Amino acid sequence: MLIPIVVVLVASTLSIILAYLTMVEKDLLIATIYIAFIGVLYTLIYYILMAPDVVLAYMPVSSILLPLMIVIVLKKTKRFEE
Amino acid sequence: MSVRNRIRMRYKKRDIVVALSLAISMLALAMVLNMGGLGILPPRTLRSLARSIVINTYNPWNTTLTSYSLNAVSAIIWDYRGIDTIFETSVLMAAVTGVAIVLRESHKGRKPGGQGMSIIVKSSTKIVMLLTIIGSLALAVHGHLTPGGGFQAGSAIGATLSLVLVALSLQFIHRIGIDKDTLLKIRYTVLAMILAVALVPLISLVLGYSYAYILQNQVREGSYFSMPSKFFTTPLAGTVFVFNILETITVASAITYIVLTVATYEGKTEE
Amino acid sequence: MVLVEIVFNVTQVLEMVIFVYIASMVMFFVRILRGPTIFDRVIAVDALSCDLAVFMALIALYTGNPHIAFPMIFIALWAYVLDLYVSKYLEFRDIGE
Repeated sequence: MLIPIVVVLVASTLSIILAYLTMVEKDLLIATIYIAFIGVLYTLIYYILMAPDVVLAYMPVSSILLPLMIVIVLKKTKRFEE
Repeated sequence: MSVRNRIRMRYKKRDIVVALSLAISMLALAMVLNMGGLGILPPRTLRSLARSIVINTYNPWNTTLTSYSLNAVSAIIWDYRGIDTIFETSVLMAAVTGVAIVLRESHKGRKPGGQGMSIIVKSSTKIVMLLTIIGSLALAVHGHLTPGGGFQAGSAIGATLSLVLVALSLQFIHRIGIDKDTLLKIRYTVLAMILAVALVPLISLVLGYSYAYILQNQVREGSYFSMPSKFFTTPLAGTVFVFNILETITVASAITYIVLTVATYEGKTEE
Repeated sequence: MVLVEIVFNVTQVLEMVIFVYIASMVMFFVRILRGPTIFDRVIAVDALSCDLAVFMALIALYTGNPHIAFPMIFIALWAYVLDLYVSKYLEFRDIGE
């Protein structure tokens, strides 16, 4: 019982720190890389909690579709904010 | 001294302190909730709802309380809570209709061109596309025996086709024969087929064979109608198997249509 | 001659190895905060995806449950996708060209 608790604690802490740093970032291309990293950490948490259907439904969305949409929008508008 | 001037931190100290304190306060709140400090929590043993779900989804001794599928999640989604899934499919249909109406093209003149990325990227993307399509078909067909199902396989195929749009060019997509109108036609045809499979038990009611319900899967009390339940020796839940295959096709075409419309939209831009 | 024989269980070895993986996850996190260019951050995300694929196989071996290790195939196939998007943004004129 020790291993699931330790892995979930470490992954949750890292994802909360990254979520705050995404908000303060001025360069929006680096912010999308942070979002992809948070997605991989969430996949790890779902897997440790023994839910393989949720992992299979979450993986294409968070690693292929979400960065693609943000990069398309950034191409048509500007990259640095303010 | 020059090394220290070059590697400078891009964040102030204030940002890192705020992020760390946010993480520590969230973890403290989680620990307090875990020990029951803020009220009554559900118990840690198997609850009666979970027990009844596990007993009722595969029960070969009592043929009126079972749907012959070993995957409990698929049985709950398509058989016991089938109307919730119908509403969720209609939400996706509303999203596709919204994208089709708002992002209508203002002019049809589209300049051809494009070569895609280099040859290393193209070769590896072709291998990845082939392996993903085979894996998704395995997920769709075995949806009632192993973890997987219809929606997971459909979104994997849709994501792969949008990856092909980025690595190889738009000309490759048109050369295969995938067009925006074709995708919409496929999607609405398969949605009509899902509705037809849901209404099949009504034929038994009309012909006078036995009493039947809409979306009925196996034999219930008071009605003798049932979809096929065994494939030589392996269990094959009737409507769960058919719905998985149809849902794969419709979700794949919906996701590819949305990505294709957003990527090739040309409207007026304000400077 | 007496040889010393050390006997380990499979579960004990796996517990020791899983802590090594958790330490490497923290190191990838330090690299994504500190990298001077944008390509270092992209490499950190890719390395975490490959690491996660092996970690899934280890957990399936530790709990003795072979049916939950199916997402391992897909995350090993799609680990390189973020590189494509970043380079397509910086080099080409249009997505889908």
